[in-house]
Amino acid sequence: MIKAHELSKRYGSTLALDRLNLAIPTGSAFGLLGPNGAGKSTFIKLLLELIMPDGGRLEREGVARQQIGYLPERPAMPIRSHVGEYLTLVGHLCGLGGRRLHTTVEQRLVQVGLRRAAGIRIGACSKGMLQRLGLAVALIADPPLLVLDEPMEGLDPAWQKTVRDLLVELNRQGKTVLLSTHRLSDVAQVCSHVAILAQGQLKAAGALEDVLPPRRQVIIGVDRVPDGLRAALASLHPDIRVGGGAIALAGEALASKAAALSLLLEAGVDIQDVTQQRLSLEEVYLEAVRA
Amino acid sequence: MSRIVALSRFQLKELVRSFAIAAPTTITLALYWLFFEFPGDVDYFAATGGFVLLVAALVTTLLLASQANRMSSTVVVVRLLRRSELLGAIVTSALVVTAGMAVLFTGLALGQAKVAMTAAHLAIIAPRWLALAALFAVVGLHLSRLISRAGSHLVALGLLAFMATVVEQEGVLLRGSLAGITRAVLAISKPIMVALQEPALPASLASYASSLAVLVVYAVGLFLLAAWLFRRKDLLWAD
Repeated sequence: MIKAHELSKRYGSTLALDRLNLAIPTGSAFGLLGPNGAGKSTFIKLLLELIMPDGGRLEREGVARQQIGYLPERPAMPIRSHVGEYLTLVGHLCGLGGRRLHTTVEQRLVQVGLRRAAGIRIGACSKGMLQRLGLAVALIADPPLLVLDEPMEGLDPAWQKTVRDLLVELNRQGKTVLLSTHRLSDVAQVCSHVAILAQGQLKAAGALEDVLPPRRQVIIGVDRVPDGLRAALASLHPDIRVGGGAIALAGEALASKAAALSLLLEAGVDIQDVTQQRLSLEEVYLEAVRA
Repeated sequence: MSRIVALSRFQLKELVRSFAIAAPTTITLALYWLFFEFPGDVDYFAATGGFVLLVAALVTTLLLASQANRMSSTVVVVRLLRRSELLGAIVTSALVVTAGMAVLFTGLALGQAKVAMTAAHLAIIAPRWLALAALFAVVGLHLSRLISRAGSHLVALGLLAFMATVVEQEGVLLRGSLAGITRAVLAISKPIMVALQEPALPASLASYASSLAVLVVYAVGLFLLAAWLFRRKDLLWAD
């Protein structure tokens, strides 16, 4: 578990994090969302002890700082070294050695599709290759906690999917994944938990199903709606919408839900499902950020 | 320790690949031609060699610290058990380069018959060169922006310039109102001056050894101060 208690960080006159309280459960896939300047990178740098807090504290239970697999937002690497050589150095710094180091470096290069690029200079790598090398560096010592800052940046759609699947698999294996990104779809597909930051403050946090509230709307799925029934439904409440194979009740029209269902049953309509939808991550995000 | 060795090996490769190694090499060669236009005795060789190597150690440390003070060090720093390991690797790399410069300097002097000396001379000279190089490699850390906090590298530069001026002008300063400070600075810098000016075969081996020991204590003390400054520094690399 990672816990931030009243965590604050200031850069000169700019308050980057303002008394942040946040808990990241062990084994979760945690999405960190927020606009530019929200404090996401500051939180990550504090977690990695690259910067020190001005107030509050950050606890990492069961994970030492050097055990964290980290992919920076822009993976800056020594451009004159070679791909395999750099990965070997990081592996060495992680305590790997001898045959195990050699095998691990090979495995990681294969995992990120850079096996044939082991001997080329980092300066000659494309943006996507750099991003994949950064991912290999983050994964080198099988870290229990992965911190990834915009991991899909520079990747083509095929590699984006590969990386997404890899993150889901690593999380399934029990690793904690902290994903900082602007890509809401990645968070929705990979993460079990989410936090939304804006202007250094926490706007929303928790399990994805808790953060996304039920929408004030019920959809009744039916096989068909006889023409005569449309007018009857409209007479219950003008906001009841009928279209295709669905009847939507929103706002005050929800009070007429039972009456609408009775009408449909009496008319012999086959009711296939009744669902209450949740707000999308995008809607919650935009509302939180605007607030 | 193995992390420091691995990191040091990597830094040395980077130094060569970036051609930054040309700086200490050029300095060593330039100072050699300056000091050894004409042949000198072994005492002169020991003194000039000590000066050349302290400059080489200082410059190499500044180059390595500058290389390390970049965003590409982020992943490395995160993986280290302690940040001081990075500083340890820089000092180790600087000493390896300085050792290479010592071989170059000595090889040139012997090869061109500019000095005559025995293996015993070299055995006595080597520890003082090593102690001087270690001290000035650590001083180089304090002059770098890598560990600097609130402009501490400028304070270090000012102190170094002040000490050099006091040592250079001691005759004048000891007669003036700054006599007390001058005596204090001379006392602090005495082991350095001994290592630079003592004859190749010193009159008192005990006194010579104690001076070198003080140099090592200085180097260790300054390294601990550098590690303390760097330990909680905000690393906001943006290059």
